Amino acid sequence: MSNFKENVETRYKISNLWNVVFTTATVISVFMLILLLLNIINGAFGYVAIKNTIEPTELINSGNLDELNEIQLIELLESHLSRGLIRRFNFEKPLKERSNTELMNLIFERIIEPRIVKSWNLKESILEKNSILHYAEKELPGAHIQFRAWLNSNFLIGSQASIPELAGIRTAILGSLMIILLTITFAFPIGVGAAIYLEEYSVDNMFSRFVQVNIYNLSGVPSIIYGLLGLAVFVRGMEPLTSGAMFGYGDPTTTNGRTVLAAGMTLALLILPIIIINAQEALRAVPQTMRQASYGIGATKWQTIWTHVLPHSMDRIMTGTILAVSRAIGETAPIVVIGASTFISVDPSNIFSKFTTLPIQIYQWTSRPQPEFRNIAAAAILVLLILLLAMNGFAIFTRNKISNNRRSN
Amino acid sequence: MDVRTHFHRELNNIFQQVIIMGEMVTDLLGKGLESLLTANEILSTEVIKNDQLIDDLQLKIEDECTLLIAKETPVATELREILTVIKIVSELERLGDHAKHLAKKAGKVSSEGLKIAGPYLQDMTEFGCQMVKEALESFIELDSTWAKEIASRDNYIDNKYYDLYDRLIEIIKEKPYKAENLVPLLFLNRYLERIGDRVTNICECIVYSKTNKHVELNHAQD
Amino acid sequence: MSSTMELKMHKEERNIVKDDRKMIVSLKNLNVYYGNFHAVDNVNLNLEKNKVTALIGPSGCGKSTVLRSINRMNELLPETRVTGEILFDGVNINNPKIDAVAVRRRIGMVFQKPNPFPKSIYENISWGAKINGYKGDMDELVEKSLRKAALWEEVKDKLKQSAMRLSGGQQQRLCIARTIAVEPEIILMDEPASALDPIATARIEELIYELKKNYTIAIVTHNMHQAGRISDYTSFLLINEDRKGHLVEYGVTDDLFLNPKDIRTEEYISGKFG
Repeated sequence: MSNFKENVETRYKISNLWNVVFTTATVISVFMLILLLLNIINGAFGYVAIKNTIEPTELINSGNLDELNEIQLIELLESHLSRGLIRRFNFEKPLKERSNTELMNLIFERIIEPRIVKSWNLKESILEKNSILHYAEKELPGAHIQFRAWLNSNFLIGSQASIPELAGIRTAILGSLMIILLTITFAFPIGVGAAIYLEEYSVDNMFSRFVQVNIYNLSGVPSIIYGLLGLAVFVRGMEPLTSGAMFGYGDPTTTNGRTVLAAGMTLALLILPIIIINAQEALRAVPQTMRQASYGIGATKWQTIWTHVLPHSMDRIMTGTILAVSRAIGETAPIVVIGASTFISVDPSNIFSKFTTLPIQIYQWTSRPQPEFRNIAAAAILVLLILLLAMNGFAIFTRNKISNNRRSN
Repeated sequence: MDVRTHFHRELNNIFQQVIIMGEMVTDLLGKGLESLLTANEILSTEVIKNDQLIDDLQLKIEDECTLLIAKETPVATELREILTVIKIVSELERLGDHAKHLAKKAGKVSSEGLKIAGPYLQDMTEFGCQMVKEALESFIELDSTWAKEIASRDNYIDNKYYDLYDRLIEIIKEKPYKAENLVPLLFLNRYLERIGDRVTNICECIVYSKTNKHVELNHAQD
Repeated sequence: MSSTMELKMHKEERNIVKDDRKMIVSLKNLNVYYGNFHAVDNVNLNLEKNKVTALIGPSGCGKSTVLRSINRMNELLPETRVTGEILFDGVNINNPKIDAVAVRRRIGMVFQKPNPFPKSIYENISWGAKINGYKGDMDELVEKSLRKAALWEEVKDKLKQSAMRLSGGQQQRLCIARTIAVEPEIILMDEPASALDPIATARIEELIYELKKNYTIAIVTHNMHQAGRISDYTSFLLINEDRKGHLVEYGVTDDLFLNPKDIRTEEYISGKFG
């Protein structure tokens, strides 16, 4: 008699069961991601009810402004707007020199003044279109119902405003990009340098093990702690440097050091441990035989690292950096702590400027009472996601090019 | 492409030495016969001395073969070739001994006996030497058909042997007082007959190294 | 050819102990420790100029460790300690005052697994020369090195191609060419053919036979037939009861393979253990 009882059927059943478990887990996470994305898109598009302060029909009987000539348009403006305002317009550019289109825009913005009185999200707009129209007819007399993409070109290039339909996120995008560039500039060389020291140069002793354990711990510290550290060290402690006063950049509004530079340094500090750990892993993955080959023909340590180890691990180091930087783009807490401006309409012009970032802007909009701000917050989240995707895509493209070169060359 | 050139160089070197040993042996057989026929004792001493060289060469070739087996671990044909070389050189060494036997009898055989046996002995020696030469060539060429053909020529030497044997026995029967002088010729006759057998053995080895089959080639009247 | 003289020499030379050999490297009382582990115990070994010396022995007997200490590769491993003298041209190079980088240029090394740099064939060879301050014609050096490594004919039309696209055997010969390019005096080989197929192995062995005209070679191999085929001297190492590697026998390869003095050597080379 055989001592084996193969039991193939039961074994197959168990392995199939696990297969189902893992598939379910994947499906759940993909479902959650789709839900998140749908939720955001839901807010960023939808019907709006627009009500004009003065209907065009009140200005001209036909309601069609195109019929009017230049003189008539100027007359319209002068009759509806205050004298002071007209003087200001004339000061900027005399009305008589303006084209018909410019005059019509002025009339549209200043006299007709369309305002959004109510907005609906995408789901309602698609499923309950009739009841929306019905409701608007009854409750909002004189309002036009219109489909609006909150994420539009005006939103991208506009600056901050207190009226949701006029507000834009240019300032926040510029702030985010500048801070991320600074973060990479600080964190990448320092992080990779530290990793090279720890992997290639340091001897295994109590001190290096202590450093290593601390780096692992730091990568798990909540980001707000880094914010507090940044506030104490970069904003307060190094104020002359971070405010730019040292270099004569003293912007009177930002002498307190709450600048792009301070934010970049704080975020760099935040992602430094992650970059170090990832770079260490990457260096460790370089086969020992490659180092031996280099040493074997009389190369020094630095020649070995620079010519062989670093090029061979650069794609992996970059992967780690991409992940870390993606985390930094989305960080809010430390930025809030070191004092990002929540309402700012001036673009950051240099590293000593005041700033706001996309996450801050989103956070600030979602806390406003008017429901329209929730719509532009959703649009801003989409922008943030697209920005992240673009940066990651670029980084992954570069990394693949490096690793393809490594393999084929 | 030949990737074990070093090994093949060594093997070739051994083959060359076997050829040289064969030349030395045939040369020695010729000189041994000459010293016998002309009763030249100086030549006879030289032959006896030179036989020592052949013995040394045999040992040298055998050592080199052993080393080659130990170090290069040959297999298949190459292994059989090396084994064949070892067998061939031991046969050649014994052929050298036969030359020595001829030389040792120089001046010890009556001229009357030589007159009768001389042509026979010369014929057998020359024919045998030719067989040795051709057998070694067939080894280098690895030509087993040729080797078989060479082995079949042994009959000629055998016939010569029987003829001479019969004649010598006849004379001894008629004139028994001549026996003392003629009996050594019987021995020499026997030694020279062995040349053919040794060449046959060599040919058997060659057939083995080429085909990996053991054959019996001296199926004649033995 | 086979003159009387030559035959006499053959008879005699087997019993001659040569003592006029020119030793380029002498290991004296070499001990290697990994932390607390005593890996190599008191090894005395010589490398004769323009000869191949093989180190054989079962796995873990410390033969690679002995080899690596000759060009001080061991000190790249943490907590390794090498004691004893390593005389190279009469100078003890087991000395922190002697620069290991300079030593490694003069004592090159070829490794078990072919490890060309992931660069072009040309760069693989030129890089070592460049970092060691070579001033001559680089193209000429590349060609010369590839020719010496019997690789030139195969790669002369694709020098710009990646070395990783070569076959295993070609890669290993490229590694040998890379080592030759910095003009070492000694080449250490750590099981250079163990990752290769029989044909590639035979080519490497032929190459070693050619190389010894210009270089002194020490080779570690776990294939004793390989040692028999290519080496002039063989040393046999073994681990004792304390797991220390030590030298059992060292001698002319012909003698070691025909008539080993130590019973353990005989048992190892005849495949009774190991």
